[in-house]
Amino acid sequence: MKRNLLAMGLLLALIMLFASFSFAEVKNPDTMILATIGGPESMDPHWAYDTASGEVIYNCYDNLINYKGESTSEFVPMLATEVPTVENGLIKDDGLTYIFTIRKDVKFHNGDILTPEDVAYSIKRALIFDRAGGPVWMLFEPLLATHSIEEIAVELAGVENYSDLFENGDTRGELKSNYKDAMVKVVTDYVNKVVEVDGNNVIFHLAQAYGPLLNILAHSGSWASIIDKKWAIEQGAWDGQADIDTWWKYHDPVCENDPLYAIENGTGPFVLKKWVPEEIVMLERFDDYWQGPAKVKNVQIKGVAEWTTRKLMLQTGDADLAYVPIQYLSEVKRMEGVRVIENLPTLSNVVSMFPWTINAESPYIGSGKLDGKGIPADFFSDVHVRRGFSYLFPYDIFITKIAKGQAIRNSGPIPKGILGFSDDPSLFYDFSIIKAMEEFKLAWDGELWEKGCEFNIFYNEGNDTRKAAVDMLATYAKMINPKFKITPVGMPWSAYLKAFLTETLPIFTIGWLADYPDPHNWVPVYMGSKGDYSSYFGEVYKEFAEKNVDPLTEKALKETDHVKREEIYKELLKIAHDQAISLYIYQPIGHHVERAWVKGWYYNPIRPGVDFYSLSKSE
Amino acid sequence: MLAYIIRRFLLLPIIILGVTFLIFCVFSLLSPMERLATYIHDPSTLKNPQSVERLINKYHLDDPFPLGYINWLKRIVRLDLGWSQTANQSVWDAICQRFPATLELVLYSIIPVILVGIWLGVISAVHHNDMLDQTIRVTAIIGWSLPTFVFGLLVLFIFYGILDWLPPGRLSSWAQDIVYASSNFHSYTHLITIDALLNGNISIFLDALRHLIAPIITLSYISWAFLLRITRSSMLDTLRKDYVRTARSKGVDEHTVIHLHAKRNALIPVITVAGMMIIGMLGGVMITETIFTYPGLGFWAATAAQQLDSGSVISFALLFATLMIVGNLIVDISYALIDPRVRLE
Repeated sequence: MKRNLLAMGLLLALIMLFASFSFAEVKNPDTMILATIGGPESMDPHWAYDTASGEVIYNCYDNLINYKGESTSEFVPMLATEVPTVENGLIKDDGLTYIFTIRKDVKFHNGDILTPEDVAYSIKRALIFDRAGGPVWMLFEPLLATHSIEEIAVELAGVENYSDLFENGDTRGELKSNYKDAMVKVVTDYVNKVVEVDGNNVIFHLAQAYGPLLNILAHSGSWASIIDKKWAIEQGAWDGQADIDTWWKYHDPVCENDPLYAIENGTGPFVLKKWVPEEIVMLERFDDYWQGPAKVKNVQIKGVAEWTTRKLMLQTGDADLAYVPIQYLSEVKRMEGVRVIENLPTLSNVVSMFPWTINAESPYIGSGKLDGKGIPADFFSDVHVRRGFSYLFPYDIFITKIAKGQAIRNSGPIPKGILGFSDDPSLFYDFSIIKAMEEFKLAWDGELWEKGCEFNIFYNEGNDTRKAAVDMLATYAKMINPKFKITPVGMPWSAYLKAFLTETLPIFTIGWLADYPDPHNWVPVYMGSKGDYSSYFGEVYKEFAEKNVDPLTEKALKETDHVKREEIYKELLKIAHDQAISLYIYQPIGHHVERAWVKGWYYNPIRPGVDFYSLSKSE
Repeated sequence: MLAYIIRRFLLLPIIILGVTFLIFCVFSLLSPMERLATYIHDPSTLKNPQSVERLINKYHLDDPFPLGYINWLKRIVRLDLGWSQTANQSVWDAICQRFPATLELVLYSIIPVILVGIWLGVISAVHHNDMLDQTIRVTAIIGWSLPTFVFGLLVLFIFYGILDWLPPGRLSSWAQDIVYASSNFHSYTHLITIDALLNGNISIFLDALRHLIAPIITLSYISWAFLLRITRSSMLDTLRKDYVRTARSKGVDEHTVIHLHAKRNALIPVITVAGMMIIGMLGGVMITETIFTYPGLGFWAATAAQQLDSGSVISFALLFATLMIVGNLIVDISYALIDPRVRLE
């Protein structure tokens, strides 16, 4: 028996010794391997709006300008030779004209030389492409003061819907002949006029002064990537003509009909070698890169859904970088040869919203009356209800216990790191049961406190953090008044989405990830009358926002002085606080995990992923 | 027999029509806004104004059920299976990419399942209730009752995490470079081990095999444990039959009694189960594939179902129904070959 035990002990020791040798040296020295979840949707810069696609496109394409290292407010030139400013005369006409001088001798991956025509074509093709649910709306706002090319076509043709322009209403079918002139004008009178080539310059003509334009054009999102016109046309993309080959056939395609869906030809530091969807993206160094070749020869981005597998890949050195969910961070902190970088502020936040008017047909508001068995559809239109819930949420406990300290609080819709963020204590609601009780007693002329309420609050299934948030709210509500019966319910994403779109959710919790680091990407979303979320708050809120919020957001957008802009946003934050428009739960803090042999990583929260150009591997 | 096979194949379109009709019925219970979840994984997609209406129109999410089904049938006639929103490629490409991987895994898993399952089942029955039987039964019970994800993670942890012998995935990084991106490597069958041999590249063959071992162990252990129990019961039942007793009483040696008289009869129910089990494995390897990051069919199908990706789910059902019917047919034919009493009419 003793001999057996000794043998087993020796075997175990040998195994451990073997295991320790297994990551003593740099594995795959020429290849940087990232193990992550999910995969890209498309390689077409004008389609991609997910971070996985953005990460690949970021490393294969260049933009006109780039963010300077870790900064989200300073720019450096990229394919342009200078960053336009009012001082250097490249921003003119009160912010309505931007001039970019294009860098010479830059090569695309196929050897073509970059020209100003390529830049103009890239922007115009984006406007034509404009897929539903895609990112190009960001270019429409500054360049054409609208949201999509369909809006322009509809207006020019004088029809109600875009589908009215086509035979049988089929937008992929034949255009009705009487609308052809109007459709041609969309390009000749609008698209062609917003970007023009003048010698080696590309000039942008804006429809309105637009503070965040440079952010939108900078190298963080895929939508302003510069593509090779000649190559794109050869692949079957829009030919750049207004009427010869009918631009509308290139507008809003389905993914399978997009000729650039699986290929690339950028000027970036890496070339797409192979993409096996949902399995692997393989990139290879572009030796003719205008800034000099990257340090690593190959990059592999692997889709590894299972956490344990990713962890073991990191442990054995088969992955150099890995996506680690917050709940598993402690497991990798103990791992030998692994570096964990924490406290990285993200440009995202999670907010619980109170629609002032819920769809009266909502099945989630009980009796639909304030009788203790339900709530009226306009329950949250009373500011005291909203304030009551704002005081009722245990922010600090949530951040400590649920977010494991990896989150901070926001006073309003603007997260930390964005112009206009404020940590003024007077703009925060602190957890206070007494103050919550006071507010609830004032709500609905005291009727709410007396009769109580009953309704459901929802979270999307699988999101444990949001579940914890709504559980806490429900628990404390019952604690202060047993007549407050709030039931948390988990919903599959499809049902949650439907309930959100049909305005039947009494409180909905949702997050927002920055497109570009400017408050205009946040405040209108959560507070504007046409906001992506606040437009679902009902008519009463819409009227309130039109009067109190929209004029300020418009003023801030057009203001070029940063100090004055900041003041306007502070005013908006005060409105958000005083009206308790939403419950600003938290701004996540990120982390990064890599093998210690990875060198050169830096953090810029607006990047869609890893900048592989900066990385190398060495002991 | 030929007439029987033709008859069975003629049934295929009817069964497929039935299966797809049922799935379409289920999907039609969802509202257009629920179906939108296939295209909107994240609320950020809603940033594009009017995107909800545009997406519903673009993907015909509000088409009434009969119209949607007829349009789908028209596409199928043109051999167009549509687009998989979850695989980010056409459904056909997704199947072509993933099916060979799963097939390779299942084909290699069949060997231990059949050999070990049947062999141990016979031994267990022959040594009924003695120590060997008890040991085999306990091993089988462990295999049968151990959840795949627990056993798989255990295998992964020991053989990869500690020993670094059996890595996950289908190939190592260096091998992926050659197989996926080199013009010198030709994919004839898309079964990497076979292709590696056909290309004369032994190192790729060994690397692919190394990646297959852990998923094979995981996948086959549970299956052979189940087959062992079936074989053992069937064998015990057969060994108690009169004709076996008669053979023994006539002085036929034990080896002949077991392997010639008893085993052949005992295997008839086993073949039914084994045939269906192999077909089932093609569609049910999701957990094994997920744990070992093995890029097969099962993981994709499950993700597609969760995300209401109707195009992928229906195509997967089509493929699986076809496999089931063909598999059933093969089982029936094997019946006739093994048991001369069975005639396919």
